[in-house]
Amino acid sequence: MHPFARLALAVSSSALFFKHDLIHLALSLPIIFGAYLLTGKARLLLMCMKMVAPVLVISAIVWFVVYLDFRTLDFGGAWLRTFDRTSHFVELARTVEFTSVIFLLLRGIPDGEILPTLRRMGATHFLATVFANAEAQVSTISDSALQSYTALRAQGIMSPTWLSKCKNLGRIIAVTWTASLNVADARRETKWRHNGFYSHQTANLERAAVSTNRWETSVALVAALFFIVTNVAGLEIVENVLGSL
Amino acid sequence: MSLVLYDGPAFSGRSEALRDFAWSSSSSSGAGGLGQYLSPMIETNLSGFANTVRGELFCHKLAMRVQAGSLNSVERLIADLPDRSRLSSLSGGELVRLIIACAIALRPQRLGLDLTLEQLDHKTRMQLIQEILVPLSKNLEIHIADNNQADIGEFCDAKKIFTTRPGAPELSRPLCNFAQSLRASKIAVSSVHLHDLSFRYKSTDRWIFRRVNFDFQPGRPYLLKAPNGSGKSTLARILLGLHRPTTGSIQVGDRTFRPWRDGRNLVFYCFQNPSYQLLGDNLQNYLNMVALAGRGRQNWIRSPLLIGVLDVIDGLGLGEFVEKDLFELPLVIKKRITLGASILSQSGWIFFDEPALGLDMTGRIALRQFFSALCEAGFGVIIVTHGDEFDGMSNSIEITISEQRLAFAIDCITDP
Repeated sequence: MHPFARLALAVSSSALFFKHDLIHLALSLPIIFGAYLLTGKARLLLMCMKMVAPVLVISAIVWFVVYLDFRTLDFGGAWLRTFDRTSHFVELARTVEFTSVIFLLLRGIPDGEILPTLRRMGATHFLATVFANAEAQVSTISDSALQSYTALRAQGIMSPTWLSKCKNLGRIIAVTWTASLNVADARRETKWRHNGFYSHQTANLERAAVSTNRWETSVALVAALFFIVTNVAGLEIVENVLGSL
Repeated sequence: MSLVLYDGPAFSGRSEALRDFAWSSSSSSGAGGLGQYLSPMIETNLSGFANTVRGELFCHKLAMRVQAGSLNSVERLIADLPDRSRLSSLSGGELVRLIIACAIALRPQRLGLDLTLEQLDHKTRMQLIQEILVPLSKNLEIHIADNNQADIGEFCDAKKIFTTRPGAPELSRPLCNFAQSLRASKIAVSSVHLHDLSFRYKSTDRWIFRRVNFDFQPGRPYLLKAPNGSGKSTLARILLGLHRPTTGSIQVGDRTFRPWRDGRNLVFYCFQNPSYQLLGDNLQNYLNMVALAGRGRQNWIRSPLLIGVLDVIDGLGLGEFVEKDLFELPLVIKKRITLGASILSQSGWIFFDEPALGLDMTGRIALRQFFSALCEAGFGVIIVTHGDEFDGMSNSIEITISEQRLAFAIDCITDP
């Protein structure tokens, strides 16, 4: 995907915050799903849904219970208040939709290309570096967490039972933390600083050719257009269509 | 331009000299005068900006290597690495080849390899030296610190000799003495039988083992020598219960053992990179933790070894490192600490992954005696090695992984 298309999609998805109706959110959903599926990120979508769906469902239930008047048991009223345009749940849903677009944009960047892509998207060098470093740190931590789990099991400190895993959660976190810091520190000192990797990256950033898939670029641009249409003038269009019928 | 070999014992300042050489006039502006030092802690040589082989190569501007058509020697070095593989799933040898290729891709003027080549199997190592490093040394100054000097020596233009610095810790003698005292101990450990064991990674659908039937008997060292990526670490992971065999079973004595759900610990694993397994503030805390865990669970070992944490610290010559931060200790000390932990864990079987990494000749001789003593005490010992430092050990059995099976290489029941 061309960095410009990423930028266009990111900017247009902020249109989700223009209107506050549930219908706009509902109209945006197929665009997001379509963008994920058409750019071949079905697995990413699944991962995203697995993470987000329970949060949304639990949130809806909690707000429903909060709004429910237990003396009158007015379920209809609680339902309306939960899904009201100004409700906290709809705010959350809107934020989740917006985040899922940003997630697609950033997680969809081919591995290793995050720094040049962010620069081409217009981020300043400082911002791009901070973001790329943060992303690198996340993957270091996730590798370290896996390694820590292996280490505790390999030394018989933790057994495969859930009880033992829970008991050793503190140790896993502690080992992950120290190991991540250790690796990041050594990497910064050896690879980035003295071996000149960072200066090499910076010097060659402008010349680095990032992957630009035409199909993905087209899908992103069309999705960006749909976002603007549905969120800025979506309801009017639907009403006009319904009215003409 | 030349290829220089650094020859010297541990604590002789080889690593510092290598770093000084590589970084002596490195400029922050880029290629001009740039030097590359590759640390023995392999993961610190990765950029951290990528999760896959493709990403790491892209960061080093080697992304188009396959499309290029005419592959030069450096590109050949990594041509067989699958582009989409995650870096964390690569074997040690594959990672070494990748980091060397990436370092060369940055077009340095000096390259320092600190114990990096020790982590390769013999064939890959020789191929790398003859086909890559020797031709490269015509345009690039390469310095190598390596303890397996017999096969490298003839290709080097010069040798730098280092001697032990005054005040350096004495590690070999305490290990030999400790080995002597260990011989007197006797523990009872059951044999391990792999019965029709098969395993494949679901992610790659690649079979690592197919219908393996193999007996491991305690009391004799098994020297596992196999090419990088053949499944040595996977075998350890199966015995540890981190991977569940696709088919087949593991028998300990006459009982079936399912390490992926059984609370007992059969094998203690000493990692190639000891930093992975150290935890706690200092070495005493770490050893206490391992000992406590060993005492607090059911074990396969029938008559445990009666040895305390302080005995291990004194016995292995680690006294002067007790108060130091674990992560700041040198590689050889970290490896020594894990030897101590392996005894205290009450696991019965110990899997050593490249235990001689970073050790000089006297250190290797002492380690050999230590392994012999472990076997005499009744422990089950499996040693993964690429070198010949443990060849000819008493009662040793050399095994390899060939065609997805464990196989005997040479059965050498000899006394050195």
